[in-house]
Amino acid sequence: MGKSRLGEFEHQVLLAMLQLGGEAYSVPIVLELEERTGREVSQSSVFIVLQRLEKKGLLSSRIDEKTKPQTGRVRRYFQLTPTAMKRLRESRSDLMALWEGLGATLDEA
Amino acid sequence: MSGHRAGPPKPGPLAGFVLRHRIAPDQWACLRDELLELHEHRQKQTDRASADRWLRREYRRLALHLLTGARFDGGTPSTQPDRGNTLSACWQDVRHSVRGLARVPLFTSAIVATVGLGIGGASLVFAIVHSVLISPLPYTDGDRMVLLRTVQGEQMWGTSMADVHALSETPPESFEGLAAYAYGTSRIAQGTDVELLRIKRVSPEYFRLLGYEPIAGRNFSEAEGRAGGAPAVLITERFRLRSFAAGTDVIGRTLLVDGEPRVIVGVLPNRLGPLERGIDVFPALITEIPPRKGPFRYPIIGRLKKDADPAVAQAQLTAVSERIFPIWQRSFTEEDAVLGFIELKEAVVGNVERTLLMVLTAVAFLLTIASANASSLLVARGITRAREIGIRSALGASTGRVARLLLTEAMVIATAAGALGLLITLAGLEAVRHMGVGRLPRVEEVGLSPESFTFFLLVTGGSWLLFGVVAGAATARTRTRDIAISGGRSTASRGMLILRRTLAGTQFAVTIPMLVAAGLLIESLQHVQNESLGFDPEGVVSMLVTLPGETYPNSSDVRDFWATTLPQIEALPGVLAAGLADARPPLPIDGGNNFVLEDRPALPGDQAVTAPWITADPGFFRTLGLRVLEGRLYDEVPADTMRHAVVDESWVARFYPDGSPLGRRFRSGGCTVDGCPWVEIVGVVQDVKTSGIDDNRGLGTMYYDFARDSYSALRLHVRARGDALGVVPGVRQVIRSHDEGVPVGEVITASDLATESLSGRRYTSTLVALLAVTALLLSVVGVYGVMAYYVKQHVRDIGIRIALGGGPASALRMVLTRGMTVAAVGTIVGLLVTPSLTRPLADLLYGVGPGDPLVMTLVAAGTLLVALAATVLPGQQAARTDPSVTLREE
Repeated sequence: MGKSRLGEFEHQVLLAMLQLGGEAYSVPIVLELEERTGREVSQSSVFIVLQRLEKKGLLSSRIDEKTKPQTGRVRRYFQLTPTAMKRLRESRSDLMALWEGLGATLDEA
Repeated sequence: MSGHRAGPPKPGPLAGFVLRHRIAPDQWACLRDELLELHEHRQKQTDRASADRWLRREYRRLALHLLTGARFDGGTPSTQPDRGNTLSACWQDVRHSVRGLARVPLFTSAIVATVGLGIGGASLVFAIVHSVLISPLPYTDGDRMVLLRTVQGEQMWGTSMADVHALSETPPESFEGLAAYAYGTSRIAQGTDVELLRIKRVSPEYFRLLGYEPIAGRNFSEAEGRAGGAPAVLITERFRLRSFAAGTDVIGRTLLVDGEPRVIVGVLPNRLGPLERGIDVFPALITEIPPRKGPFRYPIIGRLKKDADPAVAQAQLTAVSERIFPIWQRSFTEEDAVLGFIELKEAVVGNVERTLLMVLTAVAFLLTIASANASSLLVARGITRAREIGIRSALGASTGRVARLLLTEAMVIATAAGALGLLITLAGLEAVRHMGVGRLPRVEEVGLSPESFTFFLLVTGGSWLLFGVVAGAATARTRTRDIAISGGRSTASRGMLILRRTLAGTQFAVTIPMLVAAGLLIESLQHVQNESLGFDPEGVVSMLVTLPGETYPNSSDVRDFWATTLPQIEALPGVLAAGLADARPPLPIDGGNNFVLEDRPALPGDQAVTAPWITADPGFFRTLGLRVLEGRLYDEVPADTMRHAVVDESWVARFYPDGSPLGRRFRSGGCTVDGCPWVEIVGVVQDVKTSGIDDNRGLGTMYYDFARDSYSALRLHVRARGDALGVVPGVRQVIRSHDEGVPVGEVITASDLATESLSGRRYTSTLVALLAVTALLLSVVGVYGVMAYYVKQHVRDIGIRIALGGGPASALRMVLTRGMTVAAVGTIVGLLVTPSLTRPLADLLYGVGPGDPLVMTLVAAGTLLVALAATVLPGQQAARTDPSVTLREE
């Protein structure tokens, strides 16, 4: 599996999913992102990114029809794959390394 | 929407359409349900209206995402190939390519313009070459049509009435039919209108042989082609509309041709073939027994039978010639001159073949350059795209998938270029039809034939494949080599860079011969334009004056007319001199005349000597300002039985280089025994160009005494003080005051005549120069592209160089050296191949050789200078590189 960089929004979606326990569908992801960033998040963008991440092998998905009898609705749940976990770990260490010693500099600037 | 609660909003019509068509139904169920869930949530948080607005916005956004390429294909595991409709997948690729190309407008427009120009140029020239050279003449079985000629060894000339008559008596069996014609200028009178028109007398079989039927009336009957038959004439529909009231039934009406009433028996369609161009009146040609073998002014065309053996046909013609030779022996002694034939197409197309093939070669070169350039650009783009492609294949896209993507992009480029090329072709054909009149035979037939369109499709398809393969090769090589190492930031492999440089160098190698050819042609044009006509054309005007045969039946009548009018014309204010001749220097006169010198009798089997021959009065020499160098003009000679002639310097140099020609005698060829009288040379005048400005053969010209040989149609030459055309109304007035029925036509100044006589040469030079400059531009774009890209790819090296103390100058020097090496190597290769490529041009050149060192040096220097300019820009960019920035980026 070749490496491709994670887009910023892709990164954010993966982290939101991690916050939600590694498995979620679009609605909680949108709400989680909105709560943590304080910005409105487009649900359709989340759809697109989830789809894309699945194609990259970072997510897997299943259709959940459990709630169908009560609400008449179906949901699609996405799950982080081990690859995604590995990628997030790598990205964290990269960012940590880059941020090292910069906290003060940035605050002063 | 206050009262009752309506359901949540649905997608708008456009968004709805996209969502329905782009998402599988089961997928859409999920997405919609989740959207509705969040909608409910939003509604609780805010209010119904805001939530509705939000939902509609989300529908639109989703639709937009889908339109720009995102897909919901049902969570297909990424390692498996895409499923689904191949056609729609291809359509996806097309859209992806269009979007990708739209993101790089400069690259896209450069490549589309380059290739479009190449395709357009090649298709345009092919269409012209096909229409003019390849397609058969627009006559029935045009490819079997031939033109009969009199052939003697290497020499060839026309056929005569004697031949026409002989062939009508015993038609050779190899021919389906034969027909004769003769061009002329006649006064055509209908009602009160009198006009001077080019006409063509044709034998009764003529139009039947060519396959043209009158649209009204009938073709000539056989009797109308015999002496004593009813005088008949055919006209074109164009002439009917112009000369008769609308709706007139013209069949049976009378037209006066040179005063002779002729009955209109038929109306021909306007669209005839190249042999009938510009002619609207076709009187019947009467076949009769002529008084002598010549003149050879009656062309004969024929159609060979389907399986006729050319050798047999030739033998039959030879038999006819041998049969009639004894009849005409008194006026025609050349026993070995027999009838032969050439393809009619060859006769019609003439020497334009070489020019067209030359232009076709030039365009082929242009297409090569355009392809090289486009390939080079694609290689560059391939390198840039390698990252994207790399990611795609890393994510599991198969090689076939990647190839399809690249081919699709090549197709999009080729299609756009093809569309541009087609536009160029059509516009070019339109322009050629307008501007080529008189410069290109068969110009009215020029168009986009099915064959030409096929050629266009082939070239376009070929460019598609070429680009696909080149881009594929470039990307594939770059992909495997570099992506993995550089982690996405691709660098060009060395091989690719060499390939691009070779392509750029090739462009120069191809451009140089084209520029040299253009330079040589322009240089020739300059030489020809600077060539002296032998007289000062300023203030000289000529016009055709035709004295009607019925009013002026004898030579003496013609002489008397001019004897009274010429002095009156010369007395007009502003007129300096006036004179008559049957020629208009520098236009080449119609052939020469053969003659026999008294002190140099031709040996049996010798070919007769010929020289241009002009009938002129003494006023003609005064008007042109030709000085008498030796002897005198013929007007000072007492009228006796001896005929007199004047010759020019070149003639003397040719026949009497060591002595005076005065008193020498000659007589017309074709009169052996006592047929033609001796003519004495009484004077020598200055040379004047009588075989075209670009004729340097020095044939010499013989001037024959007008007083002895008064033709009814002559060119009146007038020299005016100041504006030449200003005196024309006065001249017309004088002529009209003598005889209202004498038409004056073809008024043109000598300067315009000189300019016009070079229009073909100018046309060719301009065309080749245009192509050459286009080639140069493309090459310059090529070298600029290579160097700009080089700089982009080597920012780090350049940065290091500058950081190590080389300074901006060293960066500039580095780029210039590399760019100019490419240009210089290409130029040198081009110069080496140039002489062999320009050699076929030799016949078109004037005053300059095909390998002219000055032209070659100038072209090489100019090209390198332009290449330098194109390299300086990327060079300066390199010099501005900030080492700290580039190194930090790394």
